[in-house]
Amino acid sequence: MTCVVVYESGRRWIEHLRVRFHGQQVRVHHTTSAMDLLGRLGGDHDLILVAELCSRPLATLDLIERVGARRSDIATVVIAEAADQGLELAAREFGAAEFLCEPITPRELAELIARMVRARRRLT
Amino acid sequence: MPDIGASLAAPAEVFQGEPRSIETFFVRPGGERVWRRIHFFPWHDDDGKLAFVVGQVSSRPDSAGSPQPPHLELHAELLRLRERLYRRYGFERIVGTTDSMRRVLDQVRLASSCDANVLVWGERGTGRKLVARTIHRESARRDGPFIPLDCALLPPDVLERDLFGSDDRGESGPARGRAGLALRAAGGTLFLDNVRHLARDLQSRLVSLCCSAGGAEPTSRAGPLRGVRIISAERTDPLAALAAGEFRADLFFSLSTLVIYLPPLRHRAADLPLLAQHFVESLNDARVKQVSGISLAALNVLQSYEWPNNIRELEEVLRAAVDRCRSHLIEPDDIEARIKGALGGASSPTAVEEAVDLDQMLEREERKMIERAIKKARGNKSQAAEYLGISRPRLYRRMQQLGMDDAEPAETVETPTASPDFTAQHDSQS
Repeated sequence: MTCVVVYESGRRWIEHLRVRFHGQQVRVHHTTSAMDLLGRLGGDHDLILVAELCSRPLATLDLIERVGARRSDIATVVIAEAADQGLELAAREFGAAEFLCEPITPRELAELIARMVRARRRLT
Repeated sequence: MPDIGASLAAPAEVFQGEPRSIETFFVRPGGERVWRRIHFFPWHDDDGKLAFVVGQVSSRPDSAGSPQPPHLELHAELLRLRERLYRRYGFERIVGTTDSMRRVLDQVRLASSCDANVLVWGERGTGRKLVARTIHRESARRDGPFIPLDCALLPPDVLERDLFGSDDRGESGPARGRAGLALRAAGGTLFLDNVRHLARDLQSRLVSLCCSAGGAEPTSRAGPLRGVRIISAERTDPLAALAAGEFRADLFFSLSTLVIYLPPLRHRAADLPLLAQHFVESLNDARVKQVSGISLAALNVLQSYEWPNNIRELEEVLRAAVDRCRSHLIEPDDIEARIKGALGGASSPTAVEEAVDLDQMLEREERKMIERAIKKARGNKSQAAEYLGISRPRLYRRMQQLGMDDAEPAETVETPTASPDFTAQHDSQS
């Protein structure tokens, strides 16, 4: 079972991802709380994290670093408001597997996550 | 102000935690006075102590008038986060005293002291990322970026865009009209995990990158850091991938100037007590728990398990055990049932065990481990020594010391061990 956790302040991505992965052995969770997110890292299921970097980039980078310390096998996709090379390098250094910046549509994000889910399943 | 060499002290208030600005002038070589405003910002560590002071030079007058430019605040915070990240890596984090792990540590030190490309391989959970980050942290490139990319996770088009950039204007994505990470990570390290999954055309472009960056040439620590250093990683034997045609030969040789093989946990069972203690201590720190260690009975349970997901799995199991533990020692009851299932009830904890002298107990455990390894290796001592992570002579010596039968080297059908490490790492004693 793969688990996709979406960490975003609103609900821009979650509904589309839920529809996209319905019935595909992928659980999609939504959270706005860092504590809740850290609490979801246990277990041996495959984890993909989608984290919005928009409103509080430093807090999110801090969280990504903590997530990486707790589960080094997690794949994190970061979504930023705008292209920022310094922020991208920092996000990747702290463990982001992919750094996307706006404009990006929910469909594009869902397709990328779907390809990542398939890749992870091939590996395990 | 690159043409002016000057130094000046920050006001005393800055060292008491108050941001301050001063105006001062610098004298250009021709005698011209140039006025500038300098903002000083104190930065504190997690304990609230002053860690450093950041100074920002701006032209006078300061139209913004703000003592906290956002980009400077961001930069200082990034430095603090990076410092915390880097504390998680280092030679001391590579735990193990078996011969195979000593060898790994020697190789990691060697890799850190030069600038050659490194290929790290080992099963899932053996610590490939830890080794790669440690090499970067301990190398001359430590102040440059460390950029990990998982070649098996990302689709080829995304990977190509990330690595080599794109001039596309019409699509969304990170590298739209920008240079790729291979260029932007210059002065740092690019970590390519699962590298054999890279598409053939990307492998070819990576070879060109290696050649242009000169990454495969070892340079001195004090030498200039050209381009990007590549540390790549693989879960399976890269030579097999090469033979299977999954790896371009020129790429393989470009990436594998140094090769580090990470043995699975089941092949270095002798390190398990040390690893368990290491994790219990670090988990204790993170959770403000009072667990001081692990009981021998619980250790016995851990040693009976095969650990298919290696150290990562051990850490997870111990994390759960520390959470469950209600005393100062982790007991078998604190360990997940699936791990205990591997023991098959053969050696359940008894009150007698608790009463036995520690040395005797350790000898008994050691004897059990050796017997188990020999049984698993069907009597092949070389293979058993490999499972235990020690050399064959050391295994015989220890068997003799423990008074175990069959301690003499038997000249019977010992098939040569297919060493998983294809570099010149044969133990000189064996």
